[in-house]
Amino acid sequence: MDAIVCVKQIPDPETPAAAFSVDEAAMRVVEAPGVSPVINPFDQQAVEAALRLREADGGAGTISVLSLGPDSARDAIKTGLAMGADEGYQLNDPAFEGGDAWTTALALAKAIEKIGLPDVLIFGRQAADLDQGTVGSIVAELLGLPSVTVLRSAELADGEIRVSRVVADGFESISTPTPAVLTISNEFGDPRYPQLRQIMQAARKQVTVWTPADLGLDPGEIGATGARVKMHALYQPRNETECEFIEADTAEEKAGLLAAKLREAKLV
Amino acid sequence: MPPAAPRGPLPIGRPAAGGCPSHPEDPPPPTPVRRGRLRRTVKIGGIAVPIWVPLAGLGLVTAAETGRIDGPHRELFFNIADFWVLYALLPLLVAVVVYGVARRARVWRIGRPDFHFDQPRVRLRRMLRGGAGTERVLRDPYAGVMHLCIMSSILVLFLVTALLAIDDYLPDDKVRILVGDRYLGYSLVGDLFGLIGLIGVGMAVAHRWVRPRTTWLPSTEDKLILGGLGLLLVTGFLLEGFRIQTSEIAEHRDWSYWSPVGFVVALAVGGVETAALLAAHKALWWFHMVLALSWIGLLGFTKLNHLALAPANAFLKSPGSSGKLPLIANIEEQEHFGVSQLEHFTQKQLFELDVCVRCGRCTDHCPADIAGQPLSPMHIIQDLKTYATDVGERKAGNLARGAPIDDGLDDAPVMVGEVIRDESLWACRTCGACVQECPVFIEHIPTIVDMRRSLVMEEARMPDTVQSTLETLERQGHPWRGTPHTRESWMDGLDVPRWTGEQEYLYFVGCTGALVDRVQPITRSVVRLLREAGVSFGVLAGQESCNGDPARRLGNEYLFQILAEGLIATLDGGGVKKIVTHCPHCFNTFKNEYPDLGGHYEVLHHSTLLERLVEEGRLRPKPGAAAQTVTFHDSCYLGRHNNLYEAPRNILKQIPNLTLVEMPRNRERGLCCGAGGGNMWMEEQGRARVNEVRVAEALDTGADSACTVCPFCVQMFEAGVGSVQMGTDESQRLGVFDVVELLDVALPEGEPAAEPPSGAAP
Repeated sequence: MDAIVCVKQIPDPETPAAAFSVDEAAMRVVEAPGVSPVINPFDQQAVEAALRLREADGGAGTISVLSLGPDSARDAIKTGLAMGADEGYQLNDPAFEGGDAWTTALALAKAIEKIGLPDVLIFGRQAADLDQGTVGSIVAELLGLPSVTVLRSAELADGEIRVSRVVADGFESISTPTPAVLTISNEFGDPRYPQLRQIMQAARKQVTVWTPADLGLDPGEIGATGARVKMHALYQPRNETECEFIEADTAEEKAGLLAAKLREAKLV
Repeated sequence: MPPAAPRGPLPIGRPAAGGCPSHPEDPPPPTPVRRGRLRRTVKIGGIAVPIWVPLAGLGLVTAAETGRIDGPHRELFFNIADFWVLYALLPLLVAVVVYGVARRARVWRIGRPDFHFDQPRVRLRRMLRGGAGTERVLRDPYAGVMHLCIMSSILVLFLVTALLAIDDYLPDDKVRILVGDRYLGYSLVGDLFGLIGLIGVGMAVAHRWVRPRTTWLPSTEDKLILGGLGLLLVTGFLLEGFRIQTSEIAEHRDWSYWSPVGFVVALAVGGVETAALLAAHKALWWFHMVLALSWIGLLGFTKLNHLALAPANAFLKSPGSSGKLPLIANIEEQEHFGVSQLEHFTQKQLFELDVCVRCGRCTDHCPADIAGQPLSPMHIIQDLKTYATDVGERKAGNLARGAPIDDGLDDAPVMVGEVIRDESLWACRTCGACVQECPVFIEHIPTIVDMRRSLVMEEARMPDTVQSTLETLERQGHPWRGTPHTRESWMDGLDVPRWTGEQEYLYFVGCTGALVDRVQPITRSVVRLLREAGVSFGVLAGQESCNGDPARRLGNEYLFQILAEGLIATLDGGGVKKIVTHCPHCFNTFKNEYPDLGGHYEVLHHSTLLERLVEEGRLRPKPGAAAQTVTFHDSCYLGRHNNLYEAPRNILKQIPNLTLVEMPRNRERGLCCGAGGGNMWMEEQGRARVNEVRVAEALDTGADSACTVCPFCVQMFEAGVGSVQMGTDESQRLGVFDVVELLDVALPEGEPAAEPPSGAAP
C-alpha cells in the first residue's frame, strides 16, 4: 500500500497563550522567542494512520511525507520519517508565502501528481493553528478523488477502505474505493514515539525540495497573489465581565429591578 | 516472594491484610528496631577492622612468645594416620574452585570491557573499609553482628588451622610453636571463635527461617553454606572433646580448662569406652576434613564467593557520586542504545550480578518496594543473575566456538520485558537507597537505567505519560506539558536581575522553579533573599532550557545530550562560571554529569548559598513568627547522591522559635518523596503511593509542617498530604514548605537584616 501524508508545521499548540500577541496593524501573530515550530499533531496522527494501514496490509509499499513550508518545515517532514515514513518532499519557495488553503491545496495536488497517485492520501483533520480543515478536501476535489473526513479508524479490505467517522451524535461507518483522501481525527490514537535509530536514519535522509517551476505552477497562481481568502482584520477578542449589584430595600423591589434589567438586556 | 513477616519501621511498608496503608486512623506504628540508631551504626563500620584484626591475631601473638618445650601441648594429628591424603585432596579443591570461578568469568567476559580505575586511593580505601571492614554490613546491627561472628570465626579458625600446619612442618627438636602457655592460649582462642561462629550461624538461621527480619529469598546455597559451617564447627568441638577425653583429661585436667567447649564435650562423653571414642574420633575426623574441604569448594559455586568478590567490587565501584549516570559517548555511532541483551552490559555489571548475596537490604530500603510497588532491586539483580547463568553461559559457549552469539537461543526468554518487566524498570526512583545500602557495593541504578534506555531509544516502549513528557522536553525544552506560564511569568512584579555576564552567580531557576504554580513563590523568595543579602546574581529568564536531567533518568540519553549541549552553549556563551541551582536535580546534573560533556562550572544549591549568607550574618532571621515544629525531608539528589545534609538544617536551626524534629528515616536513610527517576510524570502502580508513605512518616513526628529544598519533593508532599489527610480540616493539615519560604517569613521585607559586610559583592 502506497500513501502520501501531507503535513504542516505550526507553532507549538502547547505554548501558553501568554506567549503570543497580535500586531493588529500588520495583521500578524507575534510569537515570543522560544516558541518552537512543531508538526501539526493531527498530521502526526495522519502519519500514524498511514503506518498502521501499511502494517495491516502486510508492510509493503512506500509512505511519503509532503509539506509546503519554509526551511524549518523540514523538521516536520523528518518527524514523519522518524516515525517510519520512507520519503520526504518539501515545497519550499518564497513564492509560496502568504497563501491560503486554496493555493496550498493546488501546490500539494501538483506535487502529488508528480510523485504519482498512491492508494491513499492522508491528512490531519485540520491544522491546530488556524483550524480551517479544508486543504484535504480541496486536494480531493482538484484530483477528482473521493474524500472521507474526521476518521477515528480505517482499514483496507478488498481494494476498499472501510472507515469510521466521528460525527456529532456518534460514529458513521462507510467505505470508499481507492485511491481516496482520508483526514484523521485525534480519536485515531496516539502517534508512536520514534526509535532513536529511526530518528538518526531520518536525520540522514534527503528531502526532495520542489519550487513552483518544478511543479509547473505559475507564481501568480500561488502564494499571496493566488490566495482567494483575503484577511481584513486580525485581533484578539476581549473577554470582559461587569458585575452589578442591585440595591433596593426589599427582596420584591430587588427582584423587580432585576427583571427590568434582564428585559432591558433582552435576556427574558 | 518474601514471607509476609513484619519488617521495616512502618506498618505502611507491610500492612496487615486488608488494612488501608495510608489511612490516618491506623494505629501508630510500633517502635522500629533500628529507630534512632541509624547514625551510630554507620560509624561502627570504621571500627570493624580494629575489632577482628587483633582478635584474629591473638593466636599468633601468643605463639610469638617464648615458651617451655615441655609445657602443655598436644600431639598433632592425634589418632590419625595417612593424613597425607588431605594434601592430595588440596589440588583437587583448588581445581574445583578455579573451575567454578572460571565458568562465571566466561559469562562476565561476554560484556563490554569498560573498566575504570580512576581515583585508586578512594577505591582502595573503600575496599579496605567496606570489604575487609564490612562497614556497610554493620549498618544493620543484627546482620552486622551476625556477619562479624561468622566472618571472624572463619578467619580465626583458618589461622588456627594454618598455625597447626606450620607447627607440624617445623622440626620438633628445634622449634615448637604450640607448646606451653602459647598452646593454652591457642586452644582458648580456637574454642572461643568456634563458639562465636556457632552464635553467628544461629543468628543467621534465625534470621532466615525462624523469624525473617528482611526481604529474604530462600535458596539451597544458604542451607549448604550455613549447614556446612554449623556442622563443621560442631564436629570440630566433638573431635576436640573426644581427644581430650581419651588423651588429656586424666593426666592434665588443668590443660583442658583452656579448651572450655571441648572440655564440656569431654565430660559429656566421659562414660563412653575409650576404644569406641577413638574409633568415633577417627571417623569423625575424616568426615570433618572432607566437609571442610567441600565447604571451601563452595567458594566456586555459591555466594560464599562474596568473600573475595565483594572487596573486588568495592574497588570497582565508581568513586564518584551515585547520582551520576554513565555517558553514552559518540551516541550517533552506537549499534545499540542501552541494554537489551546481556552482552550490552559492561563486564563490571555482569560481574556485579555474581557478587550479590541476596541479603535484601536494597529492597528493604527501596521506596517502591516499601510502597508495595512492582520493584525489588534485589530481584532485578537476582533475576539477571539467573538469566546470565542460563542464557549467558550459552552465549559464552557460542562465542568460544566462534558461532554467532545468539546461536540456538531463539527459545530464550526476552531479557527486558520478560525476565525484567517494564513496570519494574519504570518504578525506580533512582533515589540511590539500594546503591547506598548494598553491603557488596552493587550499583543498581546504572543497570536499571541502561535497560530503560533500551526501552525508550530502541523499542520506543514506555508509559504514555513518559512519552508525553519526553515529547514536551523535545518540543518545548521543559517537562511541564500544559503549563500556562512562560519562563518569565514568575518574574512579574519582581525586580529580577537578568544575567549580563558581569554578575558572580547565575541563579538557574529550572523548569519547575519557573513553570509550576506551587514553586513560583519559592523561586521569588530565593530572589528576594539573594537581593536582600546583596549577592551578585542574574537569571537567564527566557533563555533558560531544561538541562536534560528528566530525559536522562527516563532513559532518553540522546535527548539529554542534545539538551545539555544546547544549554552548555548558552552558559559558556554567557560567560557563566558559578551556578546556583534552584533544584537539587539540576544541581546534580550540572555538578556530576556536565563535566563529561565539557561543561565545567562551580555549582551550588540554593540552600548551601543561603546557609552561607545566614552564617556570615548577611541574612539574620528575626523572631516574630509563632513557635513551630518542622521536620526536614532530605532530597535524594542533594543528600544521598551529593552528601549535602546539613545546609538546610543549619538554616532551619537559625530561625527563631523553630524546632526541628527528624523523621526516623533521615539523612543517608532518607526516603524518596516518590518523584525521582522521572516518576514525577508517571502513574504509580501498587498498594500505596510513595509520597503517602513519606507524609505518614512526617505526620508521625508530630511536626506542624514538613519542609524540604526540592521543588519536586514540595509537590509530592502537597499531593501526599491531600490524600493522607483527606478527612482533616485544611487548617489542621501538615504544612509543606521549602526551607527558603520559612527563612523568607523570618526576614520581614524592608528590614535589611544586616549591613552588607564590606567586600560583599555589589
